Formats: sequence, C-alpha cells, structure tokens
Amino acid sequence: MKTGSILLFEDDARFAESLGREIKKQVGRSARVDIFEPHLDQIAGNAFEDRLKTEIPQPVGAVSLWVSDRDLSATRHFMGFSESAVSRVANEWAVPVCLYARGSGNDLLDRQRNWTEGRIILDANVGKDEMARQISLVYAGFVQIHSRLKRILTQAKRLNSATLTPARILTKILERPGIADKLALYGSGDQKVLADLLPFAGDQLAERIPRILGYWLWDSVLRFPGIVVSSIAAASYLNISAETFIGNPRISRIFRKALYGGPFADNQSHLWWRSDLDEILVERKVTSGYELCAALGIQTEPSHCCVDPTIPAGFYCMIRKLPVSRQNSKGNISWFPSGADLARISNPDYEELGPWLGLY
Amino acid sequence: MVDKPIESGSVPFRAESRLLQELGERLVASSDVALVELIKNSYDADAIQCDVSVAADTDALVVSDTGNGMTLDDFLNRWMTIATDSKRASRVSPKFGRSLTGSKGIGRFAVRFLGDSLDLQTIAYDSQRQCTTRLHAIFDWQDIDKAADLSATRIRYSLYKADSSSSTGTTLTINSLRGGTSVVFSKTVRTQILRLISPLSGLERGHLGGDVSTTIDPGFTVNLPDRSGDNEERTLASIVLDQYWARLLIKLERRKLRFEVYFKGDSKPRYTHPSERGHQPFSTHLSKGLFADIRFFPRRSGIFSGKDFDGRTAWSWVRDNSGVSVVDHGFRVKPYGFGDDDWLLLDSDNARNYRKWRSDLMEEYYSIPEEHRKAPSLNPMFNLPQSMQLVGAVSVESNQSAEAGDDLIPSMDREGFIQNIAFKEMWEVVRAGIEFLALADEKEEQKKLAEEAKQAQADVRADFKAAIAYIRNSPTLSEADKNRITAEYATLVRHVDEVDAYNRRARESLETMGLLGVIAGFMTHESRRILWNLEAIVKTLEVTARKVPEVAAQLAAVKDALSAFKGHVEYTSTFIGAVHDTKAVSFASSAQVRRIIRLFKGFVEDRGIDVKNEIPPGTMTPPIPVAVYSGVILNLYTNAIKAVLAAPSKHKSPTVVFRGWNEPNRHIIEVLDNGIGVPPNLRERIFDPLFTTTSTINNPLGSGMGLGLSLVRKLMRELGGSITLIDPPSDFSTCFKLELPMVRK
Repeated sequence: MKTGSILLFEDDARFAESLGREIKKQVGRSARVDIFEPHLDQIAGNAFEDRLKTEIPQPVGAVSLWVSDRDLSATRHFMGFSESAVSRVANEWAVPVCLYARGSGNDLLDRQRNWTEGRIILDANVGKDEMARQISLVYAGFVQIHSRLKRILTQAKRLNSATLTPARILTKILERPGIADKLALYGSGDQKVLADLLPFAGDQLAERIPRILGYWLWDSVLRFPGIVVSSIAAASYLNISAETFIGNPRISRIFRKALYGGPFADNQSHLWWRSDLDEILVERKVTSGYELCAALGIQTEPSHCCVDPTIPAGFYCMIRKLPVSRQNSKGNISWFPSGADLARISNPDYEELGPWLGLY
Repeated sequence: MVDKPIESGSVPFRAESRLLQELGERLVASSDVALVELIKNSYDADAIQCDVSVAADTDALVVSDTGNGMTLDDFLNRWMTIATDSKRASRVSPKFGRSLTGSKGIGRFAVRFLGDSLDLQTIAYDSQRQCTTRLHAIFDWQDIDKAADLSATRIRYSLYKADSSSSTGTTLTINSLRGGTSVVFSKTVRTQILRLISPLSGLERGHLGGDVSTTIDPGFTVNLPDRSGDNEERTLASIVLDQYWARLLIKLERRKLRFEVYFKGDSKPRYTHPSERGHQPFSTHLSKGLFADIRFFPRRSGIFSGKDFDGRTAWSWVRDNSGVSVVDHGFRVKPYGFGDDDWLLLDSDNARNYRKWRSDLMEEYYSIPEEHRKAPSLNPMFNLPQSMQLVGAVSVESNQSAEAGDDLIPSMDREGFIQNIAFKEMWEVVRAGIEFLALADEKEEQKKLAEEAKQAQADVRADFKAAIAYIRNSPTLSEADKNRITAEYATLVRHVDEVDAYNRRARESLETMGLLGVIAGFMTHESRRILWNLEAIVKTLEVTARKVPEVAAQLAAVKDALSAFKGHVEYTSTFIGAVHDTKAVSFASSAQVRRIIRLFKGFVEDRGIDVKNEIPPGTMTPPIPVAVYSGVILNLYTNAIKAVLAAPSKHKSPTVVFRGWNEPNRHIIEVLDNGIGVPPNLRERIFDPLFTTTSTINNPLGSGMGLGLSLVRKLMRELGGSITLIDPPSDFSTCFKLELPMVRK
C-alpha cells in the first residue's frame, strides 16, 4: 500500500529516469516515485518558487520526501533553476528534502558552511544503486517518525500533558526514555531546530515536527558520535580494533542487542547505542572490548589512534573517519553538537583545515 | 476461578556498587566541571574561603573550606544517601542566605570522577549533641566497585568531639587522581576553572549580582595553586573592559525588558529600547529574569590608542576572554562563551552573511526593508558583532528545584541548560539585544561617515582657501612664492592622483581575480561531473578486471590518477569557497605547506623531485586570510617545480625546500629550488604582469599566464609585506623570500 511519495528533482533526464527506476525498486509499493517535469514555459518576472508551486500540488497528510540534485541549472523550461528554490518551497510546506551533488567530494566543508540550514545530504559518489537504497532508507525513516509521532501526539492530547520539547518528543520516537537531557545537548549550538519551530503553533507545529526531528536525528544525533556511535566509533570507544568489532561474528553476537534500530537505521552500516555497549561490558564484568576479547580468547589489537598508533584511541575523528586519541585531537568544535562528546578532529587535520573551516 | 499465588511478598530494588562509578562518569563530564562542583559545594556550605591544593608528599588533591561542615546526621542521611538532594528543601544557605548553586548531590559523584579514594574530614557544630564534632571517613572506590550489592558495602567512619574553638569546615583529600595531578592542574583545566569561578569582575550583574550593602555575606574566595598572575589579570580586565567601543546592557526583571547601548565616553545610554523611558512588557518563564553586560570591541582604530598600556596586550586579552558567557548563581556555565562556542549564532551568521534579524523582537520593532538587505551600508546585520569582538556575561538564576517546570534548568552534567522554553527566551532576549547593538553601531557608523565626508570636504576647501588667501595677500609675488604655491597645488594633485591610482589598481586586481575565479569555479563544477562519470566507469572496470588481468594493472594506474585529480578538484573547491572569507586568522604555517605539498605528491614523486618542509611545526603566521596565504605558497611552489623540471642538468637531484621562522615582528618564509634559476637582468621583471620565463617549456604544470608572481607581489603589498628574490644559499639556484609583518599597520 502506498503511504506517501518521493519526488525527484534532477536536470539530467537520463540519470533521473534510471535513479527513479532504482528508487521504485527499493521502496516497492510503499511510495509513489515521481520525477519533476515542468510543463510551463518561462514566465518572465515570476520567481522559481512561485512557478514551482503551480507545478506541484502541496502534499497534505501523507509522508512526502523530495530528493534533489544541487545543480538543476539545465532543467527544461526552468533554465537557471537551483536546489535552493526547491528547498525554500519544501521549507514552506514542511516537506523534508535530501540533496546530493554528483562528483561532490568534500561534504565536510560544505556541511560546515551550511550548518544551520538543516538538510540531509547524501553521498552521490557511492553509485546510483546505493544512492537509491539510501533514499529509500531516508524515506522509511520519515514514515517511521511520522507514524510514531502521530501516536505520541494523540497520547499527549489524551493525557493533556504539558508541552513536549523537541528533545522529549525525539526520546519518545526513539523509545529511549531518560536520554532527553543528553539529546537536548545535541540541540545546543544548533538553534535552527528551535528557530524553525518558533513561528508555528498548534497543528501547524505538529506538521513541521517530523521534518525537523528527522533532520536533527539524521544530521546531528546519528552523524556525530555521542549517544549513538558508528561501528568504527564504537570500536574506538570499546578499545578494540574495528576489524574485530565488525568482522568477528562472536563479538557481533555479543553486542547485537546494542544495535540502533530507530528511524534511519541501516543494516549495511550499523549504529550502536553507546549506553547499551557500556551495559554489555558491565554484564560481562569487563571494562573494555579488548578485555572482553581476551576473556573470550579472541586475538585482537586494541583500537589504535590514527595519529599515533602506539597509543589507544577512544574517540572518533570526523574528518578521517577513524579512531583517534584525545591527546592527538581537538574537541569542542563549534559546529559539532555539544552532546557529541566522542566527535573530534585529529590535530594534523585541525591544523590543516581549521583555518579553512573557520575554526580559528 | 481465583488464581492463588504460589508465593508472594515485596522486594526492594538492588543496586550494584558499580552504579556509583557509572553515575560519576555520566553526571560529570570533565575534570574542570568536577572540581567546580566541589567548589560550589563549599560556596553552598557558607564557606568564606575554599583552598584547592596538591599534597606535596602524596600527590593527592585537597579541597578544603571554611564552611559549616557536616554533622554525623548530615553525613549519614545526606552524603551517604544516594540521590537525595538535601538542597531542595531550602534554596538558600543557612548562614549567609546564599542562593544555592549545586543540585542533585552531584558533588559526591564529582569526587568519584576525580580519583580512586577519598579521605573526608569535616568539623561541624552538632546542635543535637551540643558540641563541635569532627568526623573522619574513608572511601576506597575501587573496593566499593568490587562489591556486588551497594547496600552491603561499608564505609568506615569515626566521630570525635572537637575543641569548641575549632573552625568548622570540610576537607576532601582525593587520592589516586584520574590522569595524575598533571591532568587536574593542567593549564587548560586551571584556565577553565578560573573562568568558571571568576566571571569577569569588571562586568555588572545587575539585580542578579547580590547587593553587598544589605547582606551579611562576607564573600567567597577560591585559592588555586599558583595564582600569582591573577591580580595583574584582574587589573588588566578592568582597564580593558572600560575601553569598550560600545556597551550593551540587557535588563529583564519582573517581566519588563530594556536594552541600553552606550558608546565610549557616554554617561547615559545613547540608544535604548524602548526608546522612551520605561520598559517593554515581556512575558517570560525566567522567574528571576536576566541581566547582561556585554562590551563590544571591534577592531577599529583608536580603541586602545593613547592609553598607558600596550594595545597589543589589550587585544590579546580581548581575544582570550571573548565570547558571551552565561553566569548562573555567580558561576559560569559551559559551553556558553567558552572556546569556539557560538551559542548565539553570531559567528555562523557572520560567516554566511546572514542578512535578516533572527530575533522576533527585532523583526517586530526594527524590521529591515527588503531593499536594504543587500546593501552593507544600510543593513545593520552587517554590523552584527562576532563572538571574538564581544566580552560579556549574561547573569541568570536557574531553578534547580523539582518543580522547575519551564524555568531555566541546568542540564544533568552541568554543561549547558535544558533547551526548554525559558532557555529559548533567554536566547531570544540576548540575541535581540546584540542585534539591537548592531543596529546602534550601524547608526553610529552612518553618522561617522557623514561627519568624515563633511570634514574631507572642509579640508580640501581649507587647502584651497589657504592657497588663494596667500596669493591675495601678496601684492607682489616673487618667483619663490609662485614656486611654493605651485608646489602646494602639485602635492594636492598628487594626493588625489595617488588615491585614484590606488583605486584603479585595486579594481584591476579584483577584476583579474574575478575573471580567474569564474573560470576556476566553472571548471571545478564541470570536473566534478566528469569525476562522477569516471568513478562510475571505474566501478564497471573493477568487475571486468577480475576476469582480465591486463585491465587490472591499468585500472590501478587510472585509480591513482583519479585520486590525485580528486585532490586537486577538492583543493580548488575549498579555495574558491574560502576566497570570500576574508577573515584574518593566525595558523600553523607548516600545516598549510604540508597540505600543498600533499596536493602534488604523486606528481613530484613520479618525477623524482625531493620536497622538504623545514618549517618548524609551531611557526604561526600573522593574522591573514588562509586562502591568500595558501594561494601565495601554492604559486611559489608550482614555480619551483617548473624551475627544477626545466633545469637541463642531470648531475643534481631536483629539490624544493620550504623554510620558515618568526622574528619578533616578522613572519618569514623562504622557497628554495635548484632549478634553472633567474638571470640577474630579469630579477625585477619576473614580477611584471604577463612576464614568464617558462612559456617555451613543455611541462604538465603549463606556463601559466605570467600573472602568478605579479599577483603574489600585489597581495603581499596589500598585507603590508613583501616578496623578494634573494641570493640563494649554495646548492640552490633560486630563493624567494616572503616577509609579513606580525601586526598589520
């Protein structure tokens, strides 16, 4: 049964066609997949946003996701069109957008410049099939948020409960009571989350929440290691080599119950609840993954710092995407969420890129 | 049928001893926060003094205070009972009526965080026993952690009757410090603690500062080891803070809000909101309101000039103390105003040239018309201060009781506040205040510009008038007088010409850069599309290569080249992005040179060129836009590579070397190579636009347009520096020397 729709903006018709086909394969019957094809000829003086609104009906009720190439300049009838017009209309209609740029490699720098804009940016270098899979994941994530939120808001109404903060709602969506405070820290520094909600109230507010929470979750909570960690960050935190953590089935089985299974969970790129990893160590009466391996008789290396392999890591370098030690890295980066206490930038990268990223 | 239980009863929860460790780790985020929690406990215990020291013999951390101490009853029912918050009942301290700063008994867990064992000594007057008592207890956390059941662990204590003249107070001796004493007393932790416990003394705290005249509280002093420089620091703070360019006061009390902006020398506010006397009604969940004192230090000439202290010291103090901090019950709260924190979005908005007000209040009262948004001179958002230009404190009193609801609530790990409605209101009010400051600054700038234009006109007229008057007053003009008049006019004309010429040069160089920028931007964009397609082809070839070995070998070469190409595209893209960022910052020179060397790594290795970066890692550049610095180095590096490739001689291995160092007032970089060299008669001409010595040489770096060195020289001059071709040391044929002043004039 189709619960919603995915709309694709891509100015290369052939690529749009094949990507659209691949997305359809991935989402099956759960969503309608359309490709934006403008019909109107250019009307002088009219802004792209206005013209876009006449071309697309405003989605109401069901989940909708827009996917857009960042460069749309060759769109037929819409010469000079750009992703920013798509984003502005999506913002007005509270539709989540995910963007990609073919050939774009430096996501980090881009992300830094667009920090407060709240978007989902996909890596287009992974190939069309993988892109389609990721788009279907994002869509499924929003469907999940949407349905859970509906239940939460109905309950809140019935219980006549006090105002729910974004962090509290997200806690309920993630079904992790008790992490609201930690989660709230992921919002400090990223006031866009608040700013986006401030002008709205009542039903209008409820309509906007899925998009905002989805962005927040994807782009902040799941991206920066703190509450949730990627497999490499988890291996670093547990002081165990990533190869063992990812590749040894005995270890995978032990930690399986710490797997993140909320919205946007990806079975090809696992995420882990850090508190559950801790709990497993406590249950096994060890203080690190390395100790655990030793107890199980599994030969492994500890997690080495990517700058100085003679010392243990413990943290995660957001640029190298590798384990890093505290002393060889910088934390407290202004554009990292405060809650992401394991996210760091290795010292050599900080020295090289810091001035370019406005960190100095 | 009624079910009958086989067994029934009631059971208590059991907790493992490790819970204490878990709580310590989770509730306290870092050593400085942990230590500050202990200092807060001393404050809450009505201590006048709190000494933090290291026991010389044992390397233990000692936190000792002159507070009320703990009776046995306090110890058993408060300290030893987890999750009691004894401070909830009364929110003020018993003796001096201090508003309490700690909550949820976090201090105890802070102790657990800092070290492996604790020796607690506390002297208190026990009103039930009618005597002064001394209590001694020892906690060995490692032993405690081993116990399976927390309730089964036993802490040994002894209670003694103390001499009635003994001073009350508590001494915590923490042994086996986490990371050793060097971590607890590292410079970073010490600086963080000082910042947390001594909010800038020169800033006002308004109605939240406590009125000394009506209280019996004698004050609270914290002594940290080695505070020798603190008094000097305090004096410098008060001097510098008084030299502000502009000052913003935000007063929010009993639902009344007022902004006041003062400029240097003003005794009354020059701009206020609301403009009339009085206040704007502002409904808020911040039960105690807030008060902010924020000083604005833009880098404008004259701020610290003519004073009897060193301007550079003052600027460096501003830099070290910049940011808008939040002071809760007299203690600063992390992360607001610390390090690179940008909680008010000032830096990100500046970086992105965000052109609209963010606060609703400013949007409602001072909305910026659409047509003004794009004009820097008309849009006050262009005057929005950056965090580095502000030194300020927002004083608040958070509510730590269980019934806090929507009031300001600190987060559990003492870093930041919960992002509830009160926090949003605090953010809105402070951000609106700073935007109001930007508006006031923009108005002042407009006034100043108008005055300057008027003055310039007056000056020109005065020159002419003087000349004319001179002629008129001389009935018989001698030849010498005529010459003098002519010379005055000539000087005037030359000045005008110089200004014109400068403007023309600046325009020309911008145009050139602009043209190149368009090409570079377009090529990067197109390259990315090509790269994307190439990568797709490589993926297909990888499948083929598994079957055909010859393809595999060639594929490896293609992948290498592709990877190098990606590096270049990425660098160019970064470069184009950063060209708009003219922010001057100081950074490690060696790291930037390393980055550029890496860019051409494959290229130089294939050609056997030896490249050495001999710049010491700590050599910092003066404040300079990184794109400019990197662009200059890149230019000289590619020139050097071209020169060594063009050298016919085979007897020496091609070498390029970077050297760099700082002298007291100058930053110096030398780029040396043993390539073809520059003939003496061409030494000056190489800096001419369109002049090139490598146009006939066929190498992959191309000959360029001959603009490189000319642009480098222009850029260096604009930065007050220079580029010269100096005599190279032996073994080298060329040496370019870059010199930049450490402080721009």
